[in-house]
Amino acid sequence: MGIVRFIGSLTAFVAGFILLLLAMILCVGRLLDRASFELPNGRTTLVLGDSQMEFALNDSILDRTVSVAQSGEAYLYAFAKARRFIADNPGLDTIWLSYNMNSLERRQEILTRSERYSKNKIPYNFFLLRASDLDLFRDQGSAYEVLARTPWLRRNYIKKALRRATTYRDLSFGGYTRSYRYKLAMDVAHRDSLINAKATRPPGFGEAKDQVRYLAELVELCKRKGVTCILINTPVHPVIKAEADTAAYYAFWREHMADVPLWDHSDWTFPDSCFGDATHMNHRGATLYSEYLQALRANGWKGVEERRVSIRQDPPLTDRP
Amino acid sequence: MLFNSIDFAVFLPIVFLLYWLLNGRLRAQNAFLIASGFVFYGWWDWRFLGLLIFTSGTDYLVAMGMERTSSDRTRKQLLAISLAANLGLLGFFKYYDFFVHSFHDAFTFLGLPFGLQTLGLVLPVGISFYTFQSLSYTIDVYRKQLKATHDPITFFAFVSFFPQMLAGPIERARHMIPQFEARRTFDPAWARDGVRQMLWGLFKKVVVADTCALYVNATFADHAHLPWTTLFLGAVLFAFQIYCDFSGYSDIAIGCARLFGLELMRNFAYPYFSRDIAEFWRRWHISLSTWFRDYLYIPLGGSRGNKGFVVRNTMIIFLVSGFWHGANWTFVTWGAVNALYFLPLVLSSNNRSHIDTVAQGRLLPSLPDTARIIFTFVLTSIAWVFFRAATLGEAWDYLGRMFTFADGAMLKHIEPSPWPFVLFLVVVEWIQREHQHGLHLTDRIPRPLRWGIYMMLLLAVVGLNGGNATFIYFQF
Repeated sequence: MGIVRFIGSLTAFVAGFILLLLAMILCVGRLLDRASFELPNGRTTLVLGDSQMEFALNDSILDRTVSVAQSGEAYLYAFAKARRFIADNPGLDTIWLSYNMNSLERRQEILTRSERYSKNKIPYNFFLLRASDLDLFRDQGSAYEVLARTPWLRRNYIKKALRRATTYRDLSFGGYTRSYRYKLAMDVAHRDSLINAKATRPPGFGEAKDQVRYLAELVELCKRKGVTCILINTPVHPVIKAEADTAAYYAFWREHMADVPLWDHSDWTFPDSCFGDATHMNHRGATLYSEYLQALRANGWKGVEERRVSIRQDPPLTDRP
Repeated sequence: MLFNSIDFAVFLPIVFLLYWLLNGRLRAQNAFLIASGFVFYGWWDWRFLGLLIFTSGTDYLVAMGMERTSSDRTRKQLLAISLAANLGLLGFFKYYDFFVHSFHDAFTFLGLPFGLQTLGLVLPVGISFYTFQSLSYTIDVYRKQLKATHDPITFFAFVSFFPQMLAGPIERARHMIPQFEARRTFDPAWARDGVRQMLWGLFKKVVVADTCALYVNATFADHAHLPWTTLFLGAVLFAFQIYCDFSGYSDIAIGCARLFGLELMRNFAYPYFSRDIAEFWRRWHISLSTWFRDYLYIPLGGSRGNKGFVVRNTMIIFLVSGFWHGANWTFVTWGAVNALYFLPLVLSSNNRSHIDTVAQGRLLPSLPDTARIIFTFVLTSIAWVFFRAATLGEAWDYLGRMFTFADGAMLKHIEPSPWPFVLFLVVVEWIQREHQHGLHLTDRIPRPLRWGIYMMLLLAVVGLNGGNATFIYFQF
């Protein structure tokens, strides 16, 4: 009998603990959800996507634009953010979405299915996910662990939310980030050596199932809500094009999203000083690129779909590192 | 399998339930423990199970052979086989590369050719622990302090008992085998306290040790540019990290064993409340210290004989202890430093001045005791720098900067700060210092309060359990 009582008592404790933990997670979710997602007056373009977008588009330069792009962002999270921003901002008319040479590569499956990314994304986005989205994590033990850690990981936000009203800016889930990296030469040398050794990985573009699914859902959502979705491939160093499967990239777009505008700026030429590494612009590059886009905007976006543009002047930065 | 992993959280309840379903069938229970031990060990790397089976099988047969013969010579030969098998395996996997490397350096220095190459061997986790445990059995049987067990299942269950097979406590056959031979009954109070001890161990490991590790790793990685104050705090925090990491493992192991009706020996007894180094060594890694005492120090003559003899034996035991921890001169130096701390006490016959618990029956220690505790802690913290550093050069450099009050840039702010957790640990363990572990609570405390405490601790464990950091002592 002793063991039965012991197991009963332990089970009751564990059940109580799980309930307490769930209640805490729900409370944190409520606090996160309470944040206002209303965009500032006049801002009608939302920037979503991964680190390429996060580092390349400076929304303080671009009129009417707000960036919530973030490194390692899966389309799952971009879609969840889009749903919420569209629902809370009837004036939102455009979404700029990252669609680059590796967005749908097979290896990008890790963005939704690995502990490395889940631990940085789930605590910040779980409250935006639908029950069907959570199904993705059913077999991922690490996702439960991360979710259980959420009250601790979001402690700073909780303190803030208990003191005052919060907005999406307090959620730490994206936005333009000034990058002061200057590691292009090192990265190019590394990539060159891989290319010479024929050791670059076969990209398998279009084979990341979750990415493909949520990209399609996002595009569909925009159509349904009358929001213009524009796919953007930000400028990269030419070495990237040597290892990218450009044909597959375009084939996928033509086959699945031909009606969605694609601004492929990956061949736009920028000075080397504009890149933090081969795939990411630094603050200098972001300034120049954003100013150029801003000029195109003023000109009714004429020429924005050009595949080859050469921007050679050094950006007039005042806060150069 | 790590104690602080989801895998173990699933593994343990299943093993617990199936084990007690077999209650009344002793051999079946022991066989089940062996299977569980193999799964637990094989989770890390099943290929190294062969070593565990080889060690256990050899020692089982050697002990049987010793019992069957009356010839002292044969018994001695059998013991030699056991020593060669256990220490040979340990030496090969743990020390081969170290010696090849050291000889290579020495030969190169002398301008002589040296042909042997390092093999880049992977150290089988737990090998230092289970070989010593298994070895204690054959030595005890050889000394006729223990009868050889005829049942291989009992013996294999003893060696492969999963809670302690990877990092101790290093059990003695004469303590454990009778437990494996006796029918077990479930004692709810005993099991409850076991769960509490496991929770306290998890708290120490996940909350205190792993949080200290963030600061310690940053400090040791960049010690050449940091000010002496930061280096001092880094050394202090490493003292807490190593204590909480290792004693946390022991607490979990001991608590876990209790769930199966088995009692493991105490491995830590609040060592940082020691008033001198001798007391520290009676309270730190007790199972290893007593192993060396029983199987090395006493056979060497112990502290009997002239002072030179005592110095020799003390140096041997501390150097061997350091070397047991790892194939690196840093560990040997750590052992030597502790020997130097210990020698004045043993030579002046003051090594047993403090055998009681400090400030027994009082809330606070006296001023002299406080000073002694702090002094002893600072000494051990300094010695730990050798233990933590990757090379002797790094250790000297670290200590050099610390003691010359070197200046430098402040360390980047590290979140979360370990200090509140360290303070909490010190306060709780001080209050509980006369009990087996920090979470020893009597049932007189109302259940809601007890459960509230457990829930707070568990929330901290769950919240801070990032990355399932491995236990430091797994590398030994």
